[in-house]
Amino acid sequence: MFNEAKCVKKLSSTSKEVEDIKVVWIFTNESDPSKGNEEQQYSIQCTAKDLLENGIRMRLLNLPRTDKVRFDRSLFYDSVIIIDGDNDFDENEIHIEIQDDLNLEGLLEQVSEAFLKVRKLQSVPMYLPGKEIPTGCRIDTSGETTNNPLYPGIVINLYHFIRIKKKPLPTVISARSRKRTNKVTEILSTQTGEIISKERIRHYIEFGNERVYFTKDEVDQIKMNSTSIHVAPCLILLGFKPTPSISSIIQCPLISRSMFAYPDETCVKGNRRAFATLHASMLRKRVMAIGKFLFKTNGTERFVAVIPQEESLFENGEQNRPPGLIIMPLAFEDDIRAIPDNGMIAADMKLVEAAENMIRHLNLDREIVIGESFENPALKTFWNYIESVALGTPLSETLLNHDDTSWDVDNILSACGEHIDKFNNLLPENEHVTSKNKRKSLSSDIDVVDIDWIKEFNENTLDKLSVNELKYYLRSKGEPISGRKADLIERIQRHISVVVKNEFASKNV
Amino acid sequence: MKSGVVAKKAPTASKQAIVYIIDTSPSMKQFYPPSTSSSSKNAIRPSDDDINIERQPRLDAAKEALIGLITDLMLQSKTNECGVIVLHTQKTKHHLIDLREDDLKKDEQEVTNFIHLTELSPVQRPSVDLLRQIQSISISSFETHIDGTDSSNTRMMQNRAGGFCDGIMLAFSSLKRKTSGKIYNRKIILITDAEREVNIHWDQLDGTVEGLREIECDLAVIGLDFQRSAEYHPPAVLSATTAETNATTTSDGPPREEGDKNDNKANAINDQTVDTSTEKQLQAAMIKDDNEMLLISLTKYIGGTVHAASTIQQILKQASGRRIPKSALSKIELQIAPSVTVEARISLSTTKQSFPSLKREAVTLNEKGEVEKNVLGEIMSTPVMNITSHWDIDDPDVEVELVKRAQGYPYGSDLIPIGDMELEGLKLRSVPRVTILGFAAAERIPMTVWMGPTRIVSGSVDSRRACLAVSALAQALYGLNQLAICTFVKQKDSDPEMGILAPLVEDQSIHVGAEKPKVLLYVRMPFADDIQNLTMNPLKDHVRMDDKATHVCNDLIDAFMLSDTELNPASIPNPAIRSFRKTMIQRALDSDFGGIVHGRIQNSINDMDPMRTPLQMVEAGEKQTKAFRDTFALEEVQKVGKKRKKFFFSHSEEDT
Repeated sequence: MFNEAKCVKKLSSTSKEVEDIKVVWIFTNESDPSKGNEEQQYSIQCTAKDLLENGIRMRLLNLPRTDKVRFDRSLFYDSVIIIDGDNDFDENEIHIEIQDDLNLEGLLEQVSEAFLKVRKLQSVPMYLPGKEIPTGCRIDTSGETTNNPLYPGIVINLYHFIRIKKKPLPTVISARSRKRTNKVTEILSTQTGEIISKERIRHYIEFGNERVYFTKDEVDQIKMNSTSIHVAPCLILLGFKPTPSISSIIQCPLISRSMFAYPDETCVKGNRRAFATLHASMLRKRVMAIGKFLFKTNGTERFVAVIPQEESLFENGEQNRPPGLIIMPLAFEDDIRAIPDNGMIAADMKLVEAAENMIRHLNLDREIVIGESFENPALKTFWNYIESVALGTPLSETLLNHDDTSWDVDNILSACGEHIDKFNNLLPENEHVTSKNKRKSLSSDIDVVDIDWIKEFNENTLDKLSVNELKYYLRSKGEPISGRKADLIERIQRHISVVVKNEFASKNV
Repeated sequence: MKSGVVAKKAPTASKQAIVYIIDTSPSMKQFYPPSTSSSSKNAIRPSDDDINIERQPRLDAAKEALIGLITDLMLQSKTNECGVIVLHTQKTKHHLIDLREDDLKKDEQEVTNFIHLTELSPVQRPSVDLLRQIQSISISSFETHIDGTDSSNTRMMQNRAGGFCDGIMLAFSSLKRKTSGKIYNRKIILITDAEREVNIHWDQLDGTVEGLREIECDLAVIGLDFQRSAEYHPPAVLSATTAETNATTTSDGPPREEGDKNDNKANAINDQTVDTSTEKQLQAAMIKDDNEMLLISLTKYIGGTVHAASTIQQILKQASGRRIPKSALSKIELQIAPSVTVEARISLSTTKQSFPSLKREAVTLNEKGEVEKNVLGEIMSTPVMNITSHWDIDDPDVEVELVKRAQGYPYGSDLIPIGDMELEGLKLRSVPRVTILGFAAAERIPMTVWMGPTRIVSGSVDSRRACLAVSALAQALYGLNQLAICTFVKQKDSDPEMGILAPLVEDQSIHVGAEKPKVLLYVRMPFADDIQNLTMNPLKDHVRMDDKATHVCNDLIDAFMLSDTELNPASIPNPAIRSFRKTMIQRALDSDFGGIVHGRIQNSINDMDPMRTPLQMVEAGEKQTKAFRDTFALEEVQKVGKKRKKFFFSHSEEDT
């Protein structure tokens, strides 16, 4: 088994093939693969070490034994594993316990969950408001000295709740070998065609018809200089505000995804108690914190709302929402856009009531489970197709037919068809309001210009007419009005010649 | 966190046309802001008492503010246009008259109108060159005596020429020439101290006021050392103008308006008595007072504001107002339910601003490696482009030609070739559309899954049906505290995304409920596969309710409770973007400048860094912070040796 694993290294450590995560999966019910043979054990350990040094991971899935003897993982590890440092086990480790009956579906689910295990983005210290100056950081504007310069701050682990899955970017491959190509990009002068070396490249920005030169280092320097937090990423709480109600939260100017914060006890002792007590107080007092957050050293600091999240459980006791702090990036003044002033009409109470009835009967509270409901139909279709091409199998009908992001019209109509109809009937007919912008299109079907177009066409004097007059004609005939004057004339000539021909033909008939 | 930001309405036109008028009368030599001590009022030099206050001549302050306003206009949009008129210049040069000094002397008996005005730029897209011209504006050297001792009435008129009334009329003419019949946001911004007598041609001024009202052009007066401020939106009824102006045209002096105090929209402030120590000062004060009243009166009937600005920051803030850019409205179908579809519009309500992307060009280097310049001192550059070639991975010398290339998508370690036609076939066909799948209680969709940027869904302005449908839906959702779960197809045939629709509640109505929501806010949320399985140990085991630690935390929160207005991110500009823009402007104006301008307001008594806790709060809460630190003694764990590595599936993996 371990000899076979060497093949993985041969293939992938130096290969330029597209790389997956390199993993050797070990499915076994043998707790002691070397069976006491020291030479073999040494050989296995060397192979395992070699694999690990080459970045190849090993995964163990212990299978049930027919003799009902439980798989002894520690024995297996002693035979194979190489661990640097201490041997403490993480309290959150995932155990895959396969009982006597091997349930493949359950196994797949467990494996998927293991893949979905969230990895922390990074650990950052969280500092309190006030004169506390972080170790390794400084707040330039305060100019105050700290009472306790060694206070490390509450260290928090940051996690992303959401990782948007997208279609992969295509790779250019050779149609012959189906291997990816080596891509070489060079900079070319568009005037002379010569290849330009990087030393000759200058970066600029256009401002007021002039070029202002910047280097990329200067741009980084501007970012660095604009932040009050230097040296290391951290979160500084600046103060507290009442947690807004859900109806006012939804107006908060969101600009990106939120992150989740949970204390890291392994870095700083006492972290969890400090975090938990502050978290509980924030929940009890119904407050959130406003903070400034530097996520990476060469980034720019941003305002964040730090909102406490209470733990919630499903009926079966499993955790629904974990306890911790939500770090929600907030928009600066520059990021805010104006509300458009169109469509600002207040609906009357009858219509609102009809809408309320519709909402009540189309309620999905029981159906939706965040994280389980609504699969991405575009990705599903894409991967279904890729898989069918790769494996030469027909497309999966089950996947194609199941889409919970589209309407089940029959169900909806049976649930609240009556209320939908009522709402629809209360809405006025779709009469278009005349606006200034529509002036041109409204006049489009009338030839308002008093011009004998046939005469102009015959005498070849269309070019003496103004562009507006030409456009009037084209608009009245439903033709496009874009382009230069010559294009307009050509279009009119073409149109009139067709008209003349048709008239001639009809007369002959 | 309050959304006062989003409650502002956008103007109808996105393109702006602004004419700036700057006064260069001799009185603009005086220092600004004025000295606080009465003895130093109107003094040329600042007093010793005010040595700590950064002061400069009024003209310098006006120029600095003007450059700030124009650069702001340039940064807002490349399509914005502006013109600049300089008052009381020695020469006369504008689109109505182009006279040189000699001509002026020759024709001075006949010409008294629109002279001593210079149009630095007609209404057009501003350039850096215009900013440089503004930098070089100086006080006119031809100061004339205005004590009224000159014999001829024409001479007196000449002395008063080039005043702000002429400037406003010229600005109107300039705006009308360029923007007549076009959709623009028009505005005239006048920066003056109004301490010089002006010619008033009432017939022309009446025509100008009517004309400005007709083209919906606001007048904003930035009054340096003014005593009063006023705001008129919308402008007063014009019939009153005629009556009042007629009443005041009987004398040569500017009109006095008595009705201002009774106007509930006028906001007169700081009425102070004028120092009457000398006759000359009294006369100057009277002129300024009369001019202020005239400008307030003009503003009242044109519509706009008069600001008594005391700092450059105030000038910038008050003249430009709050800049909220508009987003493009995209046309979408809003499918509320089967058989209920309306025409709607969607636009971004937030967008993460970043630095503008840098463009590239190639320069020529000499033997020393220095950039070569032409005889005019300009950098010799050539535009560049990227060219990419593909080479066989097995045979690095063989180029893979375009016809022999394909696109491959990874499936395991394999690359599966997929053609464009196949990809087209995989697209989910749809027009741009928001489809409501159902509704859920607001609490069912946790904040952790909300994703920015947010968008606003409103009814199409052409369709009353759509507007009413969106409005009814917004009101119903608000009343029931529900959210609509929907899909959103941004562009034709693009992949759908999941989202929620929530009622957009405007600022004051959150608690009062006076205003009903009329539009919907779209917030993106993830699909099932995008959400990560996050499970954490309970925290409540580490908290004891009767613990002293709990009280410490409670006290800390109480000590640092902020008001609504404090630390409101939506009213604070991004310091990095501000720094970049300032640096760019500085470099554009001064080609030798190679440094970086800081965007962050430095700590000082008055201008506190907006991104920090208020100083008073920090001092008041010091005790609570210390108590927290003492109660929760945090101790860094010393790491020994390498970090543990776990390699097996049954162990969680950590980064090394």
